Amino acid sequence: MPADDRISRLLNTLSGELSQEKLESLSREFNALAQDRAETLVFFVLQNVCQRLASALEGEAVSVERFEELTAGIADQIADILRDLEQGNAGIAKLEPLVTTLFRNLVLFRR
Amino acid sequence: MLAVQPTKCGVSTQRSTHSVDVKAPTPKEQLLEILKKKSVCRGTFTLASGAQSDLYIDAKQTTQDPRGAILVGRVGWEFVKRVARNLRVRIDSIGGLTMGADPIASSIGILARLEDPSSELQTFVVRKAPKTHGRHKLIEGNFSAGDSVVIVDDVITTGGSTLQAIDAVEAAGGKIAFVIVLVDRQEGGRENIERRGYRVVPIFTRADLIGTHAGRRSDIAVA
Repeated sequence: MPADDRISRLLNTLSGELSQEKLESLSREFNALAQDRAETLVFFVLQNVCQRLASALEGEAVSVERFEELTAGIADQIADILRDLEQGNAGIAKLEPLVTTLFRNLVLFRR
Repeated sequence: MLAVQPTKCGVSTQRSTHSVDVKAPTPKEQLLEILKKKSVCRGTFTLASGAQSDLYIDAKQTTQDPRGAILVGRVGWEFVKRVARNLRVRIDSIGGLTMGADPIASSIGILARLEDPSSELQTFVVRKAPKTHGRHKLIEGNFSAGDSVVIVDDVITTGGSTLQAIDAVEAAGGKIAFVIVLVDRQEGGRENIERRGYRVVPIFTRADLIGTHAGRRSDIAVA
């Protein structure tokens, strides 16, 4: 798969703090990539992770502590998978830990 | 005279026993009281933009309240009529980014029709992302290319959601007449939108809700 500057841009986006608006934007980008690139499953999972987190935040008065609890570890794991993709590795083995983190964070967020 | 005591979520507005109100509150004053009572939350919050704030405004508690919805419609429709008259623009439809804008657009559309049965004002919804199936529509409801529209939003902070709706409408061939927002948090969003050349009219500002003057106040009075 040739180099894709969209992945570099996404890595750049992930380097700052996450937010609901940023997660919605990432979700749209991953959705497009899932349809454009060969690594459909990887981008489909990344799109779902971002969409679920954004949905959890939408319309909520979220304290700083709860926001950090919800998003803990997510940006780092997504960035790790994107770096693998940049180097030509699909990074499928890293999807399961990411989804596990997502569900753990969502459970903590809802308690 | 109202004695305002901030609580964690909602601001109690108890009437003083030392003075007598001489006139009934206007619809805008009634709407402000509901917003203060139901939508103002104090604490330390992470906003949708990622910014941290001591104030969270859960506008849906007001816009989805039946009495609040009627007042949003009455006050919002007065704003739409007045601004459209001042700017000498025609308004075909009104809408914004789901879901904050949805009840506001519907309330204004319904009140417009109730006030004037000949009103042709229509309403629409802008999706946050296109439908993944079908025709990938981003705008649902009553909107056509060439329409002159009012974009509405419940709260603006950075103006991101409002600009997202504006971009979608313009991409679909619509013309933005102006923007009406229920609450301007006075954190730069209004300026971000106006920098793009659109007139923004807030019904209320942060200062109206919590009494701090962080920036411009709402600049149009509607009884």
